[in-house]
Amino acid sequence: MKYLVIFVMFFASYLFADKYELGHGYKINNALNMGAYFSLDYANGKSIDRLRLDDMAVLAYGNLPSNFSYLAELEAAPFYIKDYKNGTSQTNTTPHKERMYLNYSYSDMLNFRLGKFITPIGYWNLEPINVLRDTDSNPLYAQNMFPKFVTGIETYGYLDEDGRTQYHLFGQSTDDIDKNYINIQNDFFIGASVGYEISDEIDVGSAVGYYETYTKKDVSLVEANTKYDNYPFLLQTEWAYTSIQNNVLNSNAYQVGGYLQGMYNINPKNALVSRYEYFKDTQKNVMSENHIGIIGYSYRPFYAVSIKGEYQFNSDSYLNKAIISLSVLF
Amino acid sequence: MSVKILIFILVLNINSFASEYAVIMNTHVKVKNLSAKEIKNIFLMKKHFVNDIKLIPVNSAASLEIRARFEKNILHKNRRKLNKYWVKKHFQGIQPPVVQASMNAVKLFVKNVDGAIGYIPMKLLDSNVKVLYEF
Repeated sequence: MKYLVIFVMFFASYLFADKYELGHGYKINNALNMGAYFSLDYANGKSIDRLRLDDMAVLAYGNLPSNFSYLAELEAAPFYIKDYKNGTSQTNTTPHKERMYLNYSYSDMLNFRLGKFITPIGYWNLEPINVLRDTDSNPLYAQNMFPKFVTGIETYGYLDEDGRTQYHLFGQSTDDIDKNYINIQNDFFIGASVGYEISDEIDVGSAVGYYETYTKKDVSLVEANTKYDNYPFLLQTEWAYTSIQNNVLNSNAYQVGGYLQGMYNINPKNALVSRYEYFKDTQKNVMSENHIGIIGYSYRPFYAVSIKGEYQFNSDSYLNKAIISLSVLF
Repeated sequence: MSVKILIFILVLNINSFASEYAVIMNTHVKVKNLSAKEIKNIFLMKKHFVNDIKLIPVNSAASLEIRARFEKNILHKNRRKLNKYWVKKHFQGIQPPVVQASMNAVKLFVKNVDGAIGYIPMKLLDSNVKVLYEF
């Protein structure tokens, strides 16, 4: 009889759950939530004139018995590109495994994750899709300094009862589950990150890592980040340094990169955004130093619908460009 | 006469500052109390265990006044902030707490489901549930 009551209670919780909201996914039951997202952007400048339908993705996740849970995400990106400069177009409708993992929760302090997951470093990398970002573009820091994903195992949790100090330890000793979606191809990656919530508005974090690329580079990484989020202001910054041992050229190099981004919410739907980023790479074949300034505008009729525009000023003016985008999370 | 008025005003003030709502679990759980920060983390799905018991937080319906009070006093977030929070959690594969339509339904859920934790008005309290925090 008790189990019947419990069943009715859980059933009622679905019946009376808050109605579907855009960006919250569609809950079929406790074991299956469905979601999807896409982004459409147009970039124009001396070096680029391109329309792109990017990130056509679906995700499913849920809770399983015995403290297990899972997430699976398939994505086709870029789904369609029209390059007006070259007069070419390209379509990619094949879905690839963006994320695919199983979690096991032993306690708040000790959780395990197995599979392909987002590398738990900083803020930007953990919210990589257009709709969750406040700008159209990603900083060079987030694209060039460490692999965005790990295919391996992760241990994570909170180190205190208050849930202020969070840690992640992760390791990979294999190829990526799906090599199509990894910014830096590697077959070995270990790292650790820690975050501390100073208050509801301020948190800080740091990470270290080491990875070995397909191109025979051994890379050591150190990263630091902090965020101040107190409506209407949001200020965040992330910086990293990598030391690169190139085993083919038998040479050493380094990268330094990071950004400082500020946002002012004019009201809950409209915001002004500005970012300064710096990226320096001393590798002989890619030697470069970039200063990039961005000013942008963000309009969110709902939080899960993002319409943004920005202009990028690059230290190499040939790369200056304007970008507008529309992105939605279902 | 003025002393009586003063006492009356004092009693009125005491009543106005008394807690109206309670965070509850069922009586089988060997937990005496929780801090506001712990409760916040439970309902933001950051904290999942108390004394090795897997927690199931239960929200009241969004339209009820108690939900707004809970969000303001315990979660310290308004609806706009919470919506942003749960959109981001959706991408991370984390669901918000289950919802019950009425405060009596919350109490019944907490009474019958081990690990369930909810909040109800003080006037609905009975011996089947244990108070862990008042607000």
